[in-house]
Amino acid sequence: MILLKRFLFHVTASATTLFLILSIGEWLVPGSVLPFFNVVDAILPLFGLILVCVLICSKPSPPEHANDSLS
Amino acid sequence: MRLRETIVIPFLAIPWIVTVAIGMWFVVQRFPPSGVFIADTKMNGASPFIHPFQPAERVTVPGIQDGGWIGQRVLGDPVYGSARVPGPYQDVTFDIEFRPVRQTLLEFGIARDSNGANLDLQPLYSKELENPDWTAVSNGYVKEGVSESRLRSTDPNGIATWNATTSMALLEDVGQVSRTTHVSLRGGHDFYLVPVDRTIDFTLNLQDSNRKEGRTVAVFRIFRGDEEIQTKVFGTNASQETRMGIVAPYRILLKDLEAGVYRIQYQADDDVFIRNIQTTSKHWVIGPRLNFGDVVGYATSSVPGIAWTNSRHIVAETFHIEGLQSVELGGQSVDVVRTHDVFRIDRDDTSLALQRITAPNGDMRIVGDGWFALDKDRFFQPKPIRMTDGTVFENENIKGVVTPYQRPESIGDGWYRATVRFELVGNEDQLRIVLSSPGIVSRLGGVDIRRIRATYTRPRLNFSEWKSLILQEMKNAWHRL
Repeated sequence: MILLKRFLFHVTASATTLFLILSIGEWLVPGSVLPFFNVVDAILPLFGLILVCVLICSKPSPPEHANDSLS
Repeated sequence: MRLRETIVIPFLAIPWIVTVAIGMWFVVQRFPPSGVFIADTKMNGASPFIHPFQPAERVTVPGIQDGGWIGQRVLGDPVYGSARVPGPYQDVTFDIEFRPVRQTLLEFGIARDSNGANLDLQPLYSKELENPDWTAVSNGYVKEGVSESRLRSTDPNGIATWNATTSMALLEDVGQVSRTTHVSLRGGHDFYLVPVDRTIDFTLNLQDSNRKEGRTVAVFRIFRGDEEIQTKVFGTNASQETRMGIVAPYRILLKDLEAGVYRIQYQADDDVFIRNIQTTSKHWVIGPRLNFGDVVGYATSSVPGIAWTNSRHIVAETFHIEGLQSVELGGQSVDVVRTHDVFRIDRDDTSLALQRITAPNGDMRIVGDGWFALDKDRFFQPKPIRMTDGTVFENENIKGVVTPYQRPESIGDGWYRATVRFELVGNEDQLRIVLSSPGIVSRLGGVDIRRIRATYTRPRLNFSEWKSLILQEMKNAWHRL
């Protein structure tokens, strides 16, 4: 479960990075990204992804080896 | 524990690898190492790189058309589209699939400036040159039985040009006698002259109507053939004046000239009028544009516009209600009944004699396929006539056409595929493409366009050159901020 949470975190982080890179690319060189992909269309899904990530990843989860620590 | 780490790290790296891959894909699309980028459209409005033609009143809505084919039909002239340039490229080749409907001539090009005044047009289609009696040669087309060398001759008779230049005739006259021609011409004109006694003495008497504030600049560029030999710039007399300016002479005197045909390209806006022309040249003509002006503020009675021409096809247009009139060319006439609209006369005779053109009220802009002389005995033909949409080779006794035109490939059912290439100069992000189909409205014609493929090319790059290109583009982007 922790691994999946970490994976979701990395997916969200990499998607946000890509979004920022593409947005800056389009801003610096107009027409370089837009013909292939409209970054504005990605804002809502990305926002949803970030929200899901915050909700899931910010919840404290029980230690993976709780029994070990108790012992 | 070690096994878990060896699985977890690559697993978590997957999203980052995908991100880098997508980023690289965009970079490669923008800067393909092969140096070739192809944008293809079926003219249905779906391509992000080639946008359909406009304005809407001259074209149909892109998509499925009557008859079931997909594309766009052009119904007016000219129409403009746009193509997004996908990066730094040296040239672009357009492959166009089209079907002319009652349209005799098509040209395709790109606008070289933002307001579309400087068009780089190339021949796309000529119905006359589709005739199998005409043979393609290295610099144009000749009629069956005519030698290719005829196109290289300096004799312009029987030859037409289409987006091409020809060899200059080496002409000269002797015996200078100055003659003044009274006329009212408006704005810029091109004058073609033959030197007399190795001299050109040409004086324009100009009057600025001061319809806008400030001085107006007039530019004279002088060419021998196509070679520019001199440029002169004059400020007209207007300053703070709002009244009609005085008539002031501007003289061009060139001595020790070689034989040839000289062109004085006079550039000025329509506020400046030529009131008379004084020259010693025995042969001089104007063309292809002749703009008769009004005489408001200069004379009390209107001056008719009269000239002699070898043009077989003219279009006439006026911008003022006072200019509405009947324009005559030889035995034919046309009523100019609206302002800002072109009215055409196409001669249907086979006479090679000069014809008189008359605009009784003046105030008329005329564009012809030949040249205009203000006095009949001054006429000469400086170059072959221009091929237009109305040119009929048989009637006009034309035996050869100098042109870079390549016949389009017939792909069946009336469709053709033509290829035109343009150099890209500067760092354009967008190209404004133009399709010119002269006379399409008057003949109720159309042009169906079902596909345009744009191939952008530049030399293939190795990795270090490719890296330099990207760095250069990043620097350019930074400087643009």
